[in-house]
Amino acid sequence: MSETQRDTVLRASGVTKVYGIGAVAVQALRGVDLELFRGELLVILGPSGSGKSTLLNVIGGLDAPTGGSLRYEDHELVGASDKLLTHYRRAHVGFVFQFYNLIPSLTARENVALVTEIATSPMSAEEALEVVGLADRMDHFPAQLSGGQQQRVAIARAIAKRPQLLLCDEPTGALDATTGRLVLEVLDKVNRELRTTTALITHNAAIGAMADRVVTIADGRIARIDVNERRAAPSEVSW
Amino acid sequence: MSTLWRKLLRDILRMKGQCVAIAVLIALAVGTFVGFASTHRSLSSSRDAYYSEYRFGHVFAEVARAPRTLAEGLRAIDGVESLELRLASPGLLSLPAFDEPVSARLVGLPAVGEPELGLLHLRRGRWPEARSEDEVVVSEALASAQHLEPGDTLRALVNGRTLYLHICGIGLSPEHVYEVRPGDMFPDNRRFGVLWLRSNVLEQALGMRGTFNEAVLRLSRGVSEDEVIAAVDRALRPYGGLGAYGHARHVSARFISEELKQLEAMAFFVPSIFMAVAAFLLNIIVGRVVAIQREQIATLKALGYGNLRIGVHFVELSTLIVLLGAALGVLLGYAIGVSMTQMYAEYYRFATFRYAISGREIAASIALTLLASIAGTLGAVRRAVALRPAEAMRPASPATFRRSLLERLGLGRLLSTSGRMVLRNVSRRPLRALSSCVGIAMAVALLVTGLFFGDAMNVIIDNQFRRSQRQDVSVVFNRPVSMGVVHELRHFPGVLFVEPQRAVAATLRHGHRTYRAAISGLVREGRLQRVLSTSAQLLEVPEHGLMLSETLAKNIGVKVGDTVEVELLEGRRNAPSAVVTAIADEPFGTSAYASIDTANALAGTSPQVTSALLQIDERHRLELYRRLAELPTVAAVSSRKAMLASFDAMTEEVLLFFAFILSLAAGAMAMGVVYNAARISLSERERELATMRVIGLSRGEISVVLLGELFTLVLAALPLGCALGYGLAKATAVASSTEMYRVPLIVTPRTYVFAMAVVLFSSALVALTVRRRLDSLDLVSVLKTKE
Ligand SMILES: Nc1ncnc2c1ncn2[C@@H]1O[C@H](COP(=O)(O)OP(=O)(O)O)[C@@H](O)[C@H]1O
Ligand SMILES: [Mg+2]
Repeated sequence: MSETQRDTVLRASGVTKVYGIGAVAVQALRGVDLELFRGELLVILGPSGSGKSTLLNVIGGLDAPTGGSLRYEDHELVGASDKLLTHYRRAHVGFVFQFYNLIPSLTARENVALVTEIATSPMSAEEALEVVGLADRMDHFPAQLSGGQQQRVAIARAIAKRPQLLLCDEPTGALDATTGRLVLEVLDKVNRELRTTTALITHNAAIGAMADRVVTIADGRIARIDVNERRAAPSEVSW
Repeated sequence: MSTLWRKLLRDILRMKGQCVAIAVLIALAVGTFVGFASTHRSLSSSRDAYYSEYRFGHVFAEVARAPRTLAEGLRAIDGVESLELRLASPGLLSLPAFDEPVSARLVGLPAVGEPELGLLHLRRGRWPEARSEDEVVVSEALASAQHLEPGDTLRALVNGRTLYLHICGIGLSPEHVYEVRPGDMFPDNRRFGVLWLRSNVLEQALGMRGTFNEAVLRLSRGVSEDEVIAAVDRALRPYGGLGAYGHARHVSARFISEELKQLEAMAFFVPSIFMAVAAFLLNIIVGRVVAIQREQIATLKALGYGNLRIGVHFVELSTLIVLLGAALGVLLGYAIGVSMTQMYAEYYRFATFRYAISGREIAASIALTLLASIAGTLGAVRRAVALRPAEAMRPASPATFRRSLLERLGLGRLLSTSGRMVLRNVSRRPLRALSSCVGIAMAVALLVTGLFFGDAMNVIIDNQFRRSQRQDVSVVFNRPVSMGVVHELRHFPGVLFVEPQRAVAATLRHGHRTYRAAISGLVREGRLQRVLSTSAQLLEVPEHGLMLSETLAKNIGVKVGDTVEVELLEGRRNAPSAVVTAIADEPFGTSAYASIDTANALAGTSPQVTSALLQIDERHRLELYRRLAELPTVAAVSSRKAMLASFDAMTEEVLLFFAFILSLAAGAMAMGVVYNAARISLSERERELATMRVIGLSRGEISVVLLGELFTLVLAALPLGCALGYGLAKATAVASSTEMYRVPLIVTPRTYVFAMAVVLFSSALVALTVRRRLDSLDLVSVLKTKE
């Protein structure tokens, strides 16, 4: 990794998140410090319930942290207005979820168009679907697509706006090995070709091999960060 | 088209049944509003145009006999802009090919030219020649009911003299828009009509050369009507003035303005009900859409769509449905307006009665609709917007249930498992169950109200014309006649029984409040004419003093025991006082009753009668008519049977028309609410029901859970609806009661039963379609999709 790449896109410091109050309060994040560097592929590992999704949601502006600070470039996200968070998500962040979250009443192309219509300098919906290898399925409805295909539509939708950050919460969690690898390949390709900073949650430790860095979370804290010398190709990842 | 719009359209298509149900309700709301409001405006603007173009008078006065030389003095009254003095008289017509007597009002036209006020509009033919002895213009209502044409001849009996008249024209006058026999409620155009002829004919027939008995005045702008009336009364008093009155008291004008008042009430009540139910359904549906689309909303937010855009998206959803309904509603409103106008045109005759729908009504209804739509969706939209994206991404936590009240009372063991599920479901969302219940109840209520009008009218007519009046024939004299006439009548062919009446024209005064009334002097414990209360109780005419109808008593502010001055408009024209000894709770009119002796005593005359009620042997009816027509003192002869037939025709047409529209609408409303409730429960509980099927329950068993819930709602709604309906009927009764009649609050059991049956039937239809859907529940796909 060269020094120019170690350009920080987002910096989280001392981020905490508590759900509920009083006796039923759950401390999901207990002070997380983390930097995301421009263009890197970051894999987040950790047992179920350790706070991975919470962290990703907070980073993506989907949820407000209880404490700490989150700086995206020059903007502080903690305590930001809903308007600013909406703008942040609209302009800079792409999301990919475990269950794809496509709008069932819209075709693949239209699901992507949902983003291209509101982004400032997006690629076309067709282009984005081309990138994920679905040029021939543009007019299918989600119900007519397999899980892997749906997830690739979701990725196309996430990258169509050319986001700074691509946040993926267990994107292969609901997929089998072959399909999962296909999705990982698309994510790897997007990361390499578009240089999109990508954070990917998984509970499959083997996927860590394809990352620049691997963050392990346990009980709401960062337990360790490993830096890979070499990124493995997705096809080499064992399942 | 933006992608969100496409989503919107597809969402709507997916719920087309429910959307159509709401759109229909909106259409009914908008349709009834636009229909009633545009009819109201068309009717009132036609009236205003007609009145001003044809110079309808502002003040009217009748007098026994006054010299035309008074004209100068009357014109000189401050504020009088123009004046018309004329002769008018009742008459009896005999028409070829019609056996019964036809009563008529004969109105004198100036000997030359046209009248200054109350201009005629000639539909066909021409004016009578100047000073013509035998030419006559016949009112359009009578002409079309009796198929009279210019060129036809008729025989008229006026003041005992026979006139042979040639019809030269068919016309209308603004004074007879509602052409009704004096004292009647409903027009009977076959048996009553107005004739216009040159005044020299009447002068001769009445023996009233150089005199007039009616004055019409038009006032300049901003003049006090009361002062003119007082001045006219002063001028006419020496000649037997019967008291001048403003155009608000003019019979025809009054009928129109009361009709307008009722239309106004309808234009408010009926659409409000539909609108409220539509808004409530929208609320449920959009709420459900938001619940189903939780994750989609979160995804949109994650993609960077702002709260406003998402809020707008759902408002657009409801707006689209609502606008569709509003568009349908405007069409429906037009149809309602056109058919109501057509119906009115039969009873209200204007020179031109044009129906038009105005942009204002359309704009107002659309604005109201949008408001209702926004009100209906606001809550759901707010919920959609308030969802935190991260939270929404997670499936909604399972609904919390608890044991229902019945179970907590220990009655749970009495219920089957499915019974318990039904109860828990209903009690889990008590607010929604309650509002569904109210929605269904509204349908029952609407029906009860719609049918109540028919009930009330039937009761009124039954009371008034079957139980209160029981004569076969009534004879009205053109002046008070001696009791001897009654004895004479007893010997007429076919007459079995005669009951005399004495009407005294007077102004009742209490303090500074006055009311011009005819005191009806009735035979106490009479056989043919009795006074009945709203609840059909026999009210005894007091031996001494006056019995006033409640409306009249309120009008001049008297109660039992008070004394009123009776300013006589006939005879000695003094003002004896009389004690109010009873107040009659009567459905109709502003009447004053007294015993026939009291009436004569007040008038200060020897025993006299003004009309007689006859009970006859039907076989001699025609012969009797012929003999009556020969009596010079007879002004009008009418048959109760014929009157009843014309009432029945009118009530059937008018009331059934409204009742029918309301009933259809209520049925649609019940179906809409039940269908929505069913679809919503089905969509919420598809998984649960499919799971039950997977476990091994039969189709019938799972239907019980869903349909049981529906029927619980419907059953609870029925009594609620009846109660609401009663309340609504009461409100409509009050709103549509006028000075001329009070609508009695009577709802028959048949109405309740019918209303409930319609709603049950509509619900059963819906249940059938739901059952079909349940039967085709796709178990695998339902369980596969994650909630
Ligand atoms: N909305 C919520 N309300 C209460 N607790 C929550 C909520 N969301 C997450 N949690 C809790 O926060 C902790 C972290 O959750 P999450 O970030 O989803 O973990 P992971 O994604 O690593 O499995 C868990 O204990 C979870 O139960
Ligand atoms: Mg998670």
